[in-house]
Amino acid sequence: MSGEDIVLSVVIPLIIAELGPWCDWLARKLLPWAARLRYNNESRASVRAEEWCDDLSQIPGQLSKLVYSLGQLTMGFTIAARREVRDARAAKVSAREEREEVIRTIRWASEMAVSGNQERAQLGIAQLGALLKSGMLSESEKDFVQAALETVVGSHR
Amino acid sequence: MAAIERVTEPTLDVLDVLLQAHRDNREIHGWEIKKTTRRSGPTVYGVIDRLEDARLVEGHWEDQGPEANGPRRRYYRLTGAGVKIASALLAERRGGRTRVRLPAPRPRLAPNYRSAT
Repeated sequence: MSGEDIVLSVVIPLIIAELGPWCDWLARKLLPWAARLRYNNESRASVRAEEWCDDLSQIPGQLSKLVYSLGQLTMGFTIAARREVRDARAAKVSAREEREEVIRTIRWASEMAVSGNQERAQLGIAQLGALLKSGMLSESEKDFVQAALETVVGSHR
Repeated sequence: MAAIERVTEPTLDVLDVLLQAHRDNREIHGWEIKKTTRRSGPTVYGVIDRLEDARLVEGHWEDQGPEANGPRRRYYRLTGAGVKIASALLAERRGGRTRVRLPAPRPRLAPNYRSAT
């Protein structure tokens, strides 16, 4: 018996026999991970993970079980990646909207502060002061608000 | 009444199977839906997610005896609204014709037997 015969008749069947149960084990381990990736909702992920594990018992063969799990995992990765992109985009839009709101408020408060009407001016000054302390302003915006406050307060003295 | 976001061909297939199960007065689990529709697992469960979110389908776990230690099976059925919407959609999109054939129910095998096969 040559070395090649031994590999073909003994080693390869041994490897396959050894890998079979590992495929089953790995398939069961991958499914909860796939479910968590796919669903942002912990309770649904847990339901699907158990359900998919039951599905495995319907699949004949060991490698097919692993293929099924890898399919679910691939879909999980795809959906998680899409969600990440969507969330990042939403965060960007939200940050931009917040900046626009801050700029609008600075403008409104500045107009109030220089309005000539004492009550409106006091309201504008208070708003500018609040903005300055809010931590929402960039350095250049702080400089502008500081300068506006100094000008308005100076003119009121 | 709840609505489905997207009515795709796999959605119609799944609704078709669920409606047949409803008419046969039986419940059906995810794997059976997958096999009957010949769609992939991720596709079928994606459709079930959407139908559950729209409250057209409800699922419940099988009752397992205390000696059972394997994963439970989850069965699905159309809700009242689901039956109406599924019937209307299938009539409109497929002229009421059935594209998938629900096989006869098979008894659940013991977990040890199933994992050995």
